[in-house]
Amino acid sequence: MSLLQVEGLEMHFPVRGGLLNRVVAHVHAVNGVSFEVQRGEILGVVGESGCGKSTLGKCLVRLNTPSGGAFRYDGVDYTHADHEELMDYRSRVQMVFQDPYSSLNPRLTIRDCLTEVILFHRPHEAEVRDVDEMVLELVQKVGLRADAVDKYPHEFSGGQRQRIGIARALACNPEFLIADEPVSALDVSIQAQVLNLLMDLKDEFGLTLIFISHDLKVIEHFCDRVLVMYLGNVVEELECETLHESAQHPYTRALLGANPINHPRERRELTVLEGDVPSPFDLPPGCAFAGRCPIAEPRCSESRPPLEEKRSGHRAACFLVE
Amino acid sequence: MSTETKPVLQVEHLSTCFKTDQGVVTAIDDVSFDLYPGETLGIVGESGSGKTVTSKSIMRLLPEHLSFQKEGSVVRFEGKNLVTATEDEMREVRGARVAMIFQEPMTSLNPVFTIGWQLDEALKYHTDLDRAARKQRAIEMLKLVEMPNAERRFDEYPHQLSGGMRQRVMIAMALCCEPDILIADEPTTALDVTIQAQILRLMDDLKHKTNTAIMLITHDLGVVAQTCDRVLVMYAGRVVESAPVHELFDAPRHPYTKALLQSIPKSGRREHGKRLPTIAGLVPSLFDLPPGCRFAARCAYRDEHCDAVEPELVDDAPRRRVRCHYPLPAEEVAR
Ligand SMILES: Nc1ncnc2c1ncn2[C@@H]1O[C@H](COP(=O)(O)OP(=O)(O)OP(=O)(O)O)[C@@H](O)[C@H]1O
Ligand SMILES: Nc1ncnc2c1ncn2[C@@H]1O[C@H](COP(=O)(O)OP(=O)(O)OP(=O)(O)O)[C@@H](O)[C@H]1O
Ligand SMILES: [Mg+2]
Ligand SMILES: [Mg+2]
Repeated sequence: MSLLQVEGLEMHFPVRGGLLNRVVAHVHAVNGVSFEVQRGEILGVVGESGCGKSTLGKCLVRLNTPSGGAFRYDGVDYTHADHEELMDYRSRVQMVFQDPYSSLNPRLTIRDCLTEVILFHRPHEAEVRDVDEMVLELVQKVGLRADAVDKYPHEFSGGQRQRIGIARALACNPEFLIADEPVSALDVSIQAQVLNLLMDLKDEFGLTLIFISHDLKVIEHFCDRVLVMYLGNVVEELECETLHESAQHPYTRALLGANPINHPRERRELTVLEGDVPSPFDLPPGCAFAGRCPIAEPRCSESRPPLEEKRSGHRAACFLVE
Repeated sequence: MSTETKPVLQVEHLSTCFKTDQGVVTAIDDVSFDLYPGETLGIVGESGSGKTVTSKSIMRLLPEHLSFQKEGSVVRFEGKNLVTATEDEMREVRGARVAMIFQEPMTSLNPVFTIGWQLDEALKYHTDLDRAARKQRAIEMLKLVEMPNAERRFDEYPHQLSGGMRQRVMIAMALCCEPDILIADEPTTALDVTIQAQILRLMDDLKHKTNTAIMLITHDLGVVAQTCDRVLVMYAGRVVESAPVHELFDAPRHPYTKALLQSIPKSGRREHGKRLPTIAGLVPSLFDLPPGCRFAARCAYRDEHCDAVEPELVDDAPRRRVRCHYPLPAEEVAR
């Protein structure tokens, strides 16, 4: 059985306005997303900025309560679980947040911050082991120097803070990690170090990962499977090993086409998609990508293509994909 | 860019220190470079090497009670030294003449005001448009950075936007006033590549249209390859190499630059799931810098001389500088 099963998950935020501050509309941030994650797998999530990746992650750690659909973790439905039921869940499933600055307490040194997490989530281990040592171990794992522990968040660079966010999530010893752009602020050598660390954790302890990133090169290299999202929906799901050859959805192809180059010699006019992203306030009846799609036909704007299995392990939501 | 034209910005011996609980640290040490009109200068380097501190020092945006510049630090802009300029003079410079896009947009957008209000403030300060015209201009700017549903987003608060949308608001604000210099600190890291391509094209247009000089801080070497004219490489508070972009990619001369270029994940089946090459070891602590080269402990080419004496940043070839006792041969091709 899959470790995580997500079925038709929806997250609609109310938008208030007018004189009486009534709810005038809803943002359809996540709009019926279904997928599964196997134990020990790394699932990548890529997609347009604002397509709902972070919101999806926050639903899965229940910082948002989904407005529709359901998800089950290890056989248990946590979609509407209450605070108490979530206690245990939250020490098994952790999230690394996209904006490390706003998710760290500015008044705590790194040592205090990590100690707090360890004492809360691993009290039994903390009784038999030196907590300070556990803190140092974590800090070094993410490639920071031991002397970083007595500093405050503002004393770090952006990339150093991002690693502190990772260390904090790992401090719970989670079995499932949702990492939201965990390496986006890191230079490539540190990025490589963090990715290697995550791969080691996967191999040694069977860590399962949802890895949100906009960097297809990293996803392709690092993940087993990838979900491609567009405006709250999954538009394609496929294996990463053959991403280049098998990607079919026009949006995925556009992402691959705009992928940055390796050498200034390869410089070219970047493919820029024309047209607008439709509003998440009132979604069009048809395919959300139709307005920017280079191969769209009239029927694409009339009804929404369902996410269908095109071949084993490959789903796509497009009328024009065989 | 031609070297005949005069630089718009000259940074000379810029050193910035922080007062911390554990003592004073020098975060950037003797940083010097020129920026020319109409060029894009890429700044890359190890996380924590001082890229953000360099740009915030230029803009004088670091907390004054916690940081200071060492004697002899110069940031020359229009004949003035910004390091010693008055706060009034700095206000003139910031925003209108030199604009900055920040790495973490949430920390520089005000959470209690709408996006529209914040854009309006910037326009009020730097233009003499009336209220209606300002609103129109602000929405135009939001559309220019490909903000979907610009009219609607105008009335929203920062927390209602996704990470990438916040970043685009910052970019819109910076471009509002057609600055002489645009300092962009990781402007596209939060964006998907199709939007990234649009933003990079937008910055390129700005450069050609208004001859704006761009300082682009990024760790994405693909972005550097695509858009930069020259590159400055930093390590542990020092500039270790600077070169025109083609030469840097073809033949990095500093061992750190070479190692950096080798850590890029490559796409393709052959590499899938493999451990990536990394640079063994850690950057030295700013509290405990070695007497010699700061990269020595991690360098494959070091000897005793490197441990004992720190190399100077020297002119190496036309428009190239390197800080290394044993620079790699110019012919060696990376990868
Ligand atoms: N608290 C909120 N209130 C209202 N709308 C929200 C809220 N949080 C997110 N949204 C909206 O939901 C949509 C999805 O946002 P989300 O942050 O999940 O995007 P994302 O895919 O993570 O984007 P990015 O790559 O830019 O980080 C956006 O339209 C955003 O404006
Ligand atoms: N307020 C501060 N107090 C003490 N040290 C600081 C402060 N701000 C930055 N530093 C230190 O200065 C050094 C340079 O930081 P900076 O933010 O410039 O790095 P960066 O090159 O931008 O890195 P990144 O790529 O991770 O953003 C870091 O080692 C950081 O710890
Ligand atoms: Mg996000
Ligand atoms: Mg920085």
